[in-house]
Amino acid sequence: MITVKHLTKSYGNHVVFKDVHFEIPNGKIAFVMGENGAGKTTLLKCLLNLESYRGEIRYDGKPLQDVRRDVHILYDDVPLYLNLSGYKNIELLLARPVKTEQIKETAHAFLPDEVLKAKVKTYSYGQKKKLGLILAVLSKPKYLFLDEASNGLDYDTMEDFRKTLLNWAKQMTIIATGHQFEFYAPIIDELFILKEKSLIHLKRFKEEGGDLIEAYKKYIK
Amino acid sequence: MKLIKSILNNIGKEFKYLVYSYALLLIFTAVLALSVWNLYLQMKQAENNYQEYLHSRAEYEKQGMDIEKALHAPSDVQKQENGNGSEIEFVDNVLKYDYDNVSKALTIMRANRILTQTLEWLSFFFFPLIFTIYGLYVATYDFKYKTYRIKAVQTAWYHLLLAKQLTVYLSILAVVVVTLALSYPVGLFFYRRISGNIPIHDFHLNVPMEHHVLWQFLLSLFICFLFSTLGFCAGVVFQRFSAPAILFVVYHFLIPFLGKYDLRNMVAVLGHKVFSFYGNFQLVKPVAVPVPLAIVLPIVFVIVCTLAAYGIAMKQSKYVKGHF
Repeated sequence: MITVKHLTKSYGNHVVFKDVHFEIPNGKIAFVMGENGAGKTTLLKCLLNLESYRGEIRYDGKPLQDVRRDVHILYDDVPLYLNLSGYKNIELLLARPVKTEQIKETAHAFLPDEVLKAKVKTYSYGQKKKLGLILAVLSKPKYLFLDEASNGLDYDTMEDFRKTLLNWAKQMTIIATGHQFEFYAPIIDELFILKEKSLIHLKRFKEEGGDLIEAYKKYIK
Repeated sequence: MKLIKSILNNIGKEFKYLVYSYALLLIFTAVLALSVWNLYLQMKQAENNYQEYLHSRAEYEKQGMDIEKALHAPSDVQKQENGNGSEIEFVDNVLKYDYDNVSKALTIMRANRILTQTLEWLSFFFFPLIFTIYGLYVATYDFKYKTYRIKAVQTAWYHLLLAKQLTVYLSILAVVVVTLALSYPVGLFFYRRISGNIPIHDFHLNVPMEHHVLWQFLLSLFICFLFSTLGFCAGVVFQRFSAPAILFVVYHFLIPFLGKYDLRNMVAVLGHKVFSFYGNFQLVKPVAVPVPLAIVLPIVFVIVCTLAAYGIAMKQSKYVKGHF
């Protein structure tokens, strides 16, 4: 379970969110919704200690530094070493060592061998996204963060990704942000809305039909 | 234990990146090429000096002068400053002067001088330039590719920085040691080659070994670590490569010494204490600074730079936007 207490983040005098409390149970997919600039990515940055913040964030009672190897994030723009091959990126960006056979077996489900041997600068946006997915699969995290991660995926990959997320959710806690409501609506368990410097947890979201667009219109617009 | 394991793991990855990206190979090739170039220049210098000597000897013979007597007499060189600040040399005994120049050129090519000559040539101009840029590169390549965003989740920020900084030092140590190890046989080869063209046993000059090569090696490493730290810290603070690189190139090439506490001046003070500069490279005469101060101040500078860079980095966002 991810437990957040008294979380406050501000840049100078600009408060992004103030005294936020929430919990995300294990084995659930949580979705954070909000307008552009509401602080969705900032919230992820705080959860991952990429930004300084005030408050307390615990992963099953432990601080991030004790669970770093169990945490992985998939970014929209997929940071990769463009000057190196896909295989070398996998080797350098994985938090834990993985056997070559396992890397190949997993990677080939997403990208062919010749693509993985080529430098990433020759990849299309979709291929970079797939390489990001390979890293996520091989990382086997307990806590997975998705920052607009479904953007740019083709239909088939998106469908596969959705199934993969559902499968992963049996063992992982997944926190996603983004605007692709159709993609996330069928799979999310918990909905959070960032609005006016606070975070609203819609506990009856599933019972109310689980429509993200409706929730967006009702609570944000 | 956990800290050491994390840092060692990151050092391994840093080395792998530097190998995969050919950055380490590029640095090593550049340093080795400069070293070989110096040894080649020394050989050409010895050949030129010998030609000058032969020319003077022919002149002496043509004028019926006693060669042996001239070679046993002092050369008596007087230096006079020209109107434009340069020096003019007035040589009384040209033959002896040319003989001494050949002897000196041959002496510094001997096996026991190769390492000294290599360090002397590289340490004061090329190492500061190359390794500042190198430190800057190691600090910033993860900013360029935005991969800090992934690494900073996997590893504590200061573990990552410490691993990078240690990688810089270890790789520099490797580059310098391997360069010296390869320069030695190259120097021997050039000496053997010139032995075929010049009767080396006819030229005797006792140029004393004034300083131990170990001190020279340690000073060279000190200079490398000093300037690579400067580059590394600038990279961490500015999170980009180009602007600090340009600033440093301007500082290195265009700006004169900024007083006696300028790093370059203190390095020059130490340089003149440990090297004699008989070879191709002549180090600028520094403004006097007590040697202990010239050692302590750069060390303090390295520590303060590192602490300041880490302190600033802790407060900066790790969600880097990516720029070079």
